Amino acid sequence: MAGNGKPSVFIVEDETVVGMDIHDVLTGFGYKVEGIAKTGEDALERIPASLPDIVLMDIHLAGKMDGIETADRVHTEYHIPVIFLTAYADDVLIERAKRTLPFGYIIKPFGERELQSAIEVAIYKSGVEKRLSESEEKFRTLFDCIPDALCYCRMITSEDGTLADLEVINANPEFQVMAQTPALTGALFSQIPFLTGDSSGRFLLLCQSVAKTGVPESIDGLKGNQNLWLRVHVSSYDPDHIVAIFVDVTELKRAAEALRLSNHKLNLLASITRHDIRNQIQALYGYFGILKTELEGTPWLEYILKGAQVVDTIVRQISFTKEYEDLGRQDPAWQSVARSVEGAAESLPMRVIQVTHTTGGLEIYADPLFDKVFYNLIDNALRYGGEKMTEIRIFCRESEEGLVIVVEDDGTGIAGEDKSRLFTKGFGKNTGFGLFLSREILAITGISITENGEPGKGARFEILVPADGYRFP
Amino acid sequence: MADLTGEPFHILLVEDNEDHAELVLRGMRDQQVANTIHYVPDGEKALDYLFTRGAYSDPEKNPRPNLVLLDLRLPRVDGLDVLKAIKSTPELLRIPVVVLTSSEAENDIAQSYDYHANSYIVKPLDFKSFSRLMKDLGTYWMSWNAKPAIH
Repeated sequence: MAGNGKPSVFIVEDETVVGMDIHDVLTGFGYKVEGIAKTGEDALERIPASLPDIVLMDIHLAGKMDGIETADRVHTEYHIPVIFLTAYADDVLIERAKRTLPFGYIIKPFGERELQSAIEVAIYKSGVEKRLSESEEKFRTLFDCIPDALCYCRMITSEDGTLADLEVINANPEFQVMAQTPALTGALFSQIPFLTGDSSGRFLLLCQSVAKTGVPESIDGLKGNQNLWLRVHVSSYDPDHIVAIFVDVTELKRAAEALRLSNHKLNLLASITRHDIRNQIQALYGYFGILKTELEGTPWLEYILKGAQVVDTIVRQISFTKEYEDLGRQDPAWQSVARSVEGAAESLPMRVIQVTHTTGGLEIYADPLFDKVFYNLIDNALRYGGEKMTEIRIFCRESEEGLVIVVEDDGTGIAGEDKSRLFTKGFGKNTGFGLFLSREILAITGISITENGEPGKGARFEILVPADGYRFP
Repeated sequence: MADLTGEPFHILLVEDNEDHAELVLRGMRDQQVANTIHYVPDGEKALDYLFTRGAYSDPEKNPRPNLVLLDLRLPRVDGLDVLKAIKSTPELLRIPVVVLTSSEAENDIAQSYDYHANSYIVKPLDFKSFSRLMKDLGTYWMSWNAKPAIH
């Protein structure tokens, strides 16, 4: 409403008396009359300056333009609603007038109340329309600006109930770029050169499943034209329509592939180096062996034995790098804790020490090297637990942050001053890598590990698994 | 347990690592059977020896071996290619070839047998096992194993 809140009206009427009459009626209702024009040309000149809330328009005007033509321009150029006022009402005229989307059509002569209600309704409707178009524009902008390809489709089902094709109802500009097709509304998916090979079939199956369950799903590894790799997210709000968002993951895929390759090369290099070092060590062992025999009973034997021990450590460290070369190379997977613990206990010299685990069917989402974690923890307990250790217990409890797996023993425990360096590389008497790598393995899937045992009473490791990283199948 | 014929037993050792060669030579020296080891450091020289050519053209000094101890990773000509050459040459194919390597790779083992290696042995790391292996190797190939007639 312009100015003081009263609706403002502009009158276009070529008969002065009628114009004045309407003016008085409107003023009586409290409306503000912005002006009266006798011709369409005059009206178009003055309306932009006053921008009224509504225009009352006679169809027969004095000038060259008639009311319908003028109304059309007022509506399209200034978005101001128009109500027609006319003495004539033949079908042809009404038909022409309709096309200008008028907000009302009043036949002269008319009553005052009739005029007032027509104006009120028109102003209300135009407000709603304005808000609707603003909202439409907002969402259209959103739709158009999304950098991923988005399309809204109707599902075309064949007689046997399977999804046969999709009809595009709406596709955003990025979709048109990806599909290399400009106008897509009404097009069938099977006719758009978009997904290639078996990707089309995989996509349709996904749509069918999503429409059935209503649960949004995503799949990876679809092949698009121009050699694109796509990931698609499909959602469905009713059983007949789906919304699909295609994300171009080509760069991501290339980067992942490059990473895999360089990993492979690094491992190859490491393996060659390992092989060469191994060969040298073999010779060293040979010479030490000969010397051991020759120097038996002399004071020099002690140094030979010490030298051989140094070589032993090198060998352990080298074989360690081999065991861990696969770290992070394969995707994480669900792994059974019980199986892991049992496997470790079988391959380690347990002597009289009992390993008890009460984790049931617990499975953890972790790197495939997960087995090494329990192997290292049990191995550590065996190495440093001391003479009086009798038992290693593994159990779990759920907490607010997730699941806590406890690995504790009744050995000598870990001295206070060692606790802070426990998980750092190079700490420890054996290889110095066991706990460091255990922590790295767990960190891949967001699992953390701490030690909080009481020195003298036993070591106690707590492994915290995030809520979505464990299950009891 | 001695070579009944009393003829000297000739071994061709193909090994690029001199230290390893040294240790094998030492291991074989203490065998019960008299043997002579002919040592070559790469695959090309191994083929020269076997085909008595180049520096090895004198058959008196370089007699055809009764056993080949062959490393796999060799300079110039790879161990597997030496093996292939031996097993595809009628005059040489009966010579037992023992692959003696530090490679435990499944692929190496499979390929060696595919090319008709007579045995595949992974060199043990520690000296005790190594000494034992040398002794066993000598006993097996020089005493228990029946020598084929070499052309």
